[in-house]
Amino acid sequence: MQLLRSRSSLLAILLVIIIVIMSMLNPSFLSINNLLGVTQFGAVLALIAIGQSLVIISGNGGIDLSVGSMVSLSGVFIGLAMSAGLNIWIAAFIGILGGLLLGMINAFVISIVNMPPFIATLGAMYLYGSLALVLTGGNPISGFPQEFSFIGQGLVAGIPSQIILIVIPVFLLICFLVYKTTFGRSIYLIGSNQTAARYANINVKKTRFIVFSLSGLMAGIASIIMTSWLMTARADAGFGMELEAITVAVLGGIHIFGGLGHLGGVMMAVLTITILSSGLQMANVNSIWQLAILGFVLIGAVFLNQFLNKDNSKK
Amino acid sequence: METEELLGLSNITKTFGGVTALEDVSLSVKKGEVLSVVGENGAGKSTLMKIIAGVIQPNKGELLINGERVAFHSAKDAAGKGISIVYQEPNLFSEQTVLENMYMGEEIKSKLGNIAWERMYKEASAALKMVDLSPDILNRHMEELSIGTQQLILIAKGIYKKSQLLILDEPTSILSQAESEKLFELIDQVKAKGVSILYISHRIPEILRISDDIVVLRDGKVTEYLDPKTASEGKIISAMSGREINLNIYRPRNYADKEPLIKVSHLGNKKLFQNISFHVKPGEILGVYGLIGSGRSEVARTIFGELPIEEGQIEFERNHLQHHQMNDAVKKGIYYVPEDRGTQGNFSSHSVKWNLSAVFLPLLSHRFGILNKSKERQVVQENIKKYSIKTHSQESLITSLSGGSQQKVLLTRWLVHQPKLLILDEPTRGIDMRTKTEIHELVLSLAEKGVSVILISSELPEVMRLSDNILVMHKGEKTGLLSRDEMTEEKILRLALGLAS
Repeated sequence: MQLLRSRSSLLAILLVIIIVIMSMLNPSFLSINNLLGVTQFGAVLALIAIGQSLVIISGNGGIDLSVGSMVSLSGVFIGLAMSAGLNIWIAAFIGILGGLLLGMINAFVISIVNMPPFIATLGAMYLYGSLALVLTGGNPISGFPQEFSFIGQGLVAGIPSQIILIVIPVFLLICFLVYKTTFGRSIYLIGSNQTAARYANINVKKTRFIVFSLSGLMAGIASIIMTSWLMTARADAGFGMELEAITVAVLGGIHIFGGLGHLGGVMMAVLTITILSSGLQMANVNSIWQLAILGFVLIGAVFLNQFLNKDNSKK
Repeated sequence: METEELLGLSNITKTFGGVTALEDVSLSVKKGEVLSVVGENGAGKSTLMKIIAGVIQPNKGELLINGERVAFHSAKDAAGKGISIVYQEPNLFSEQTVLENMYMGEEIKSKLGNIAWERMYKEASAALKMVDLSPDILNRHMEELSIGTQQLILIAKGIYKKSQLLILDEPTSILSQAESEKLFELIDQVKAKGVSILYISHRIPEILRISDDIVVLRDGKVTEYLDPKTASEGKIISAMSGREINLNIYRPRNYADKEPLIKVSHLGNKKLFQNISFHVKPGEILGVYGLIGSGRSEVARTIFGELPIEEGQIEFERNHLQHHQMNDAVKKGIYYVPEDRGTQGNFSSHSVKWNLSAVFLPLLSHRFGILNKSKERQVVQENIKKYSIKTHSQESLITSLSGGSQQKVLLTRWLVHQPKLLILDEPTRGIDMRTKTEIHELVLSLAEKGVSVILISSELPEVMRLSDNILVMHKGEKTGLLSRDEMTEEKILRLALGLAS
């Protein structure tokens, strides 16, 4: 019971249960190759969920609804740069910078102009989304060089390259930033009590600015994986991903009002959701049901966790 | 006048944690009389009021209404017995209309269960007429009206609810002269109808004018009943202030011949405070006393750089502070411990360690802002030990500590740096006696080490015990600056109440 009280271990147990059930439905599910292969589907989600989680932890209504659109628009930047004749890796770098820039625009509107994050990023979601459509004229940009597919489709030592070359290093770097530096501590403190943080001489504006910029940076990096995977830049590539990012953040134990939750839990949640949905696909479960099961897992896990912790606090 | 008793209180006692707010209070309100309750900040007036209104429950004692024993579990219970209350800072829904506000949560419904707007409108118009307000305002949003008008609306609502007892908490503090006059007329009218009024105010002239009886509270006890026909201003003040204050803990220090550390001249900020001047020398403790709303905290927050310097100037170590911001203040060694632990101090979802280290994170970082966690643990441990903060461990949640220990965390975390000017805003509010004494001792020893202290407190004994000089404020203005030889409780109170000394 004690184990179930932490969100990460609850999710780990849930993950094992999912894997056992899936392999009973389809014996080939349990092969190492399959399990490793499946993780590639979670790479984009993992990156934007990290950004989203930091935004939510920083509190004061922190949410980033524009991450999906930022993934799409950054991908379009890559496509346009490539079409303009730039080297593909330079184009990819432009995608990262583009994401960062979009995030900084959000950051400016939220932390300097003081607009509520919900409204600012909702507006940005529409703006960035339609800018992506305008820039491409609605047509996907293709013609990427073959070597670019390595990021989204290649393997390194049997592990999908986007996981080992991008997701894991980025996750470790962000964890270092969040858990080993004063800046990381500030994110949790401003999320817990912004007024108290102010009186403790913590630079609330600066911290919030960086957090929203980071969310854009993560979307920019994610757009490289997305584009390489599809080998096209599409204006709707990231459509709807903001809600998936919020879902895994909350499932991973990030407190929706800020100040609490660990990124490790979020990674567990990404893994759980990714393995669950590809397992359901392999078992030929109708995709309509897949969303319902996702909803059930989200509510069920959070409920169980709250229920057990309530019990705990009474003792 | 009828002599029948409407409300009787016998031996009411209320404690919060280890702090006694009311002790053995007995009083009686007769039908159709105005009973005024006077007392300093923290004398227990608002606790008393909340008990009568059913908002909080006493630990001991009885409430009688019309001779019948009652126990209120909520404000609704009290309202059911005809008790209504108008708070000093009323809860308003500023984006709703006046009519909606008047009936919030108690809408009149028709038989079918929908809201009977027309009937409500009619009743509300009649209620507003009593305070000379036009029914036209019923459809306007609350926020469009002046605070005084809002207050009158709530009073009208309270009266119209067919109350037996109307509690008015400092109703005139935000009313203009004309509005106050209207209120007094109204009080006379409802009195004639047999409604009793419990009147709480700091304004002694109006208390003498409208009361039938005056009861004085001091340190949570009823100290005196006064008859307004014979009582004078002086008599009320001395009844409020006649307690023993042990001044022995004060230790004289040698600060007088030093240059001031900070000089504040003609500091002002729109409506918050005006023309405030004072200086503090190294090793001096300057007490700041004033009622709530006197602008005390706002002056402190300006010195800390949390509010901008709008008028006047601040000189610190002989330098004019320009574009003064919090970060500059902290760099110069000016620290401020805010008055409200819950909303301005604690990171309530985090540990004692995180709460303590929050203000000295830069000291704990290597290059690139990397946090030295072992140093953090060590510094936090030293602080806990040095100031005997009672906590199970560094990792305990801050909210698991007693109020006193929480306050110690918030205060002593600034001492890790070398403070030059420490501003303490209500440093002992709501904490137990022992910790209070410890904090007083700490303040004195800091001053002995040459730290300048500005001590803001609503508690007169605290200010008098510790301060070398006391700055008294009233409604945003400086009404006096008293040295230790000049200060008496009566003098300070008079200045804080805005009375001529």
